[in-house]
Amino acid sequence: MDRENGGNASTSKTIFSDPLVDLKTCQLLSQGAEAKVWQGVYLGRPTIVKQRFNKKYRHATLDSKLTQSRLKQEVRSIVKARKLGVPTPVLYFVEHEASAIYMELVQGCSVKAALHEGKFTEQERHDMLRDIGRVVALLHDGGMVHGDLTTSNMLLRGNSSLVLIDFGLSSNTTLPEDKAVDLYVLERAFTSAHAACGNLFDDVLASYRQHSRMWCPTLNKFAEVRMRGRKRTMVG
Amino acid sequence: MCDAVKQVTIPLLGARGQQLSIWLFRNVRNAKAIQQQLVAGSLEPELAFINANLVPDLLVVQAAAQKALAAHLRGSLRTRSLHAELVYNLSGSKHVGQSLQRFGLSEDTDQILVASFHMDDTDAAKVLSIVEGEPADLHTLSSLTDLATVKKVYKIVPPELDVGTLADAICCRIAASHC
Repeated sequence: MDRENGGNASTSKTIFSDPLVDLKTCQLLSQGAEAKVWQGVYLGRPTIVKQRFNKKYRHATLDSKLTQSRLKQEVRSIVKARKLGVPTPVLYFVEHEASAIYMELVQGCSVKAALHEGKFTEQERHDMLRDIGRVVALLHDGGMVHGDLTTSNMLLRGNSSLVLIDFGLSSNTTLPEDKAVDLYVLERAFTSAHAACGNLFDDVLASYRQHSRMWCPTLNKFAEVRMRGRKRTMVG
Repeated sequence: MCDAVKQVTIPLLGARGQQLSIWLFRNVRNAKAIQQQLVAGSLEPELAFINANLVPDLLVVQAAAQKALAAHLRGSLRTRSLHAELVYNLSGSKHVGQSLQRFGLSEDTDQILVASFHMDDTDAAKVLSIVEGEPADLHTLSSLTDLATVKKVYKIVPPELDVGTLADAICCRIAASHC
């Protein structure tokens, strides 16, 4: 319980006032480079509180502007994804003053954990992979990319239905290039984290191709991105 | 009709352990009179009056109330009172006037949700005397919903209902309204 206290200390600046939920009653689940993720109770429901913290190495004004705009972008992306029929956690509250997002706690494990534990039958795994392809196609056809598609950013609600989380790097785009990079990041996630399971990504890609209306330019670009990597060469 | 619930009290997060009390009235006859008092600011105690046809679930009211309370505690209300803020937040839009018009009372509203922060027993009695209507079971709230209008005002599209309930969709709108 000691580490929770450390969380509050770093959030006492002008706009970074304390969140409505008392973080001392919450449990710290994980911390990334931008935000801390806590588990607590809001509206009487189990809730995830994702709080972006301030970065001391950045100029204070720039820091708060960046944090606010990223917070807003993440919220907008979640709402847009839901409108497209992509399952995401339900938003409960956005606290600008504390740069915190409150959202539904999805009960279930991540796709990564599920694949590692290997508790699927062959058919279940096939269905899940096809579902990933379908959901990513929905997202891309709707004109947005997730930005960080990995198997640990996909949860299985009740260990069965897919939910996408972490739209922090998500953006609105219709360029085949961006979608191809999105797919490439996912392929790398599969090859690096689940190499032992065989060619899982083929199922995802086949399903993506089937469900996306604009698969052709995206997959052409994808082949290109595969050759050169995620970053474009900016020579000349 | 086993254990009809005429009043719900929901605890809220806040500095002093605030809570929200909610009543549902049907066949309300004096909506116009209440509205005039509201506009004049002469209603005592201060209450929030909500068009019950636009609220499919109490979760939605709770989310709006909690958001209003948070704004109140930080001194960043966008309307003139905490209770007006609740009604405004329900709409999931930034437009204050339109939100109050849609989700608050109009002359012909006859199904009303009444909500109040800081409530004691004498105030509860006053609520029953202010509203001329039949107190109804809050479990029946979802049956009063005007689905077509709700979907229209919140701009809810069919794919969204595949991934969650109507209340979930509205909750997201309320949370994201200032983003």
